Amino acid sequence: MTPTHEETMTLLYARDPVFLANVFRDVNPYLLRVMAGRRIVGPEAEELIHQAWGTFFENLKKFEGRSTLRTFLCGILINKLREQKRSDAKLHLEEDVEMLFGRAFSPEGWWNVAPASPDRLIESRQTMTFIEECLEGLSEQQRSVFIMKEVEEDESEDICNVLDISVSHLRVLMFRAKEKLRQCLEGKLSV
Amino acid sequence: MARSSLLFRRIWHDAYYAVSGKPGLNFAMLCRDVAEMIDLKTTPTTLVGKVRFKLHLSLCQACWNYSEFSKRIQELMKLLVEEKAAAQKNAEALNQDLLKTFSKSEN
Repeated sequence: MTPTHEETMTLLYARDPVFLANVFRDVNPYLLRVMAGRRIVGPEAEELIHQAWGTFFENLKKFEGRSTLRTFLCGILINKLREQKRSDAKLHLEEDVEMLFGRAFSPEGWWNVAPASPDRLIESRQTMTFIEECLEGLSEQQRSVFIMKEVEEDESEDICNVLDISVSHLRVLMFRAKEKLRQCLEGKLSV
Repeated sequence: MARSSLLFRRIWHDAYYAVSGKPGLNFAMLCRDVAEMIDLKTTPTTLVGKVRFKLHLSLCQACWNYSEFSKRIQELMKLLVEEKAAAQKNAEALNQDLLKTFSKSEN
């Protein structure tokens, strides 16, 4: 049976080894996947995850159960990454929402440039390599949101809570991430 | 996708907008709103909303492509991440390390 938030907090404060072992087993594969999506693997990923758990236990009372434990930890992990990359230190709205959609859609709501058919986007070693390369073109925020939403299928509300962003900001990040990937992949696959 | 299917979709898309996109009727959804639903993975809650969404996707080639791209990139990203994660050393070693650091009885 899943413990309530209060029970979870009691066990976390007690640092109960059995409970922690289960939590680590449940959460860490997710965190490792999030890191892997950013091409951070091995000791570097483990070190960051270690730091994230350290921050979590230091600030345990901040975990109010508004998101799942794993998404909460993911938020800490992403902040750690951001601290590492000073250029991306502050989470900011990269572009004005209306400006972005003004470019993508006409005032009547139609596509300005219609997306092409993704027929060439098939599973192959080459496509995977292209995706990895194209992911490099995304900003930290875009990559975080994209992986949490598309790969881990986290709820929008959870992502917004953890990353402290609005739904419209989330939407911009998702749209922009996909647009960049689409353009990059279309360029590579058409060569 | 067959050329006839593309043509069929384009003709119906234009006809659909010509009729149901008119102010006052407003049955046709905007591509912008459809793209938002695809991005945020939200689905309409009402039956009429579901019909509007499905109809738009069936008739609008651009949104259909966007939806297909979204599905495909999601599948491929999942594969990629799984592949990368599998290449890492056993997560159990990390778990044990964390237990040593953070569990009270193990300290």
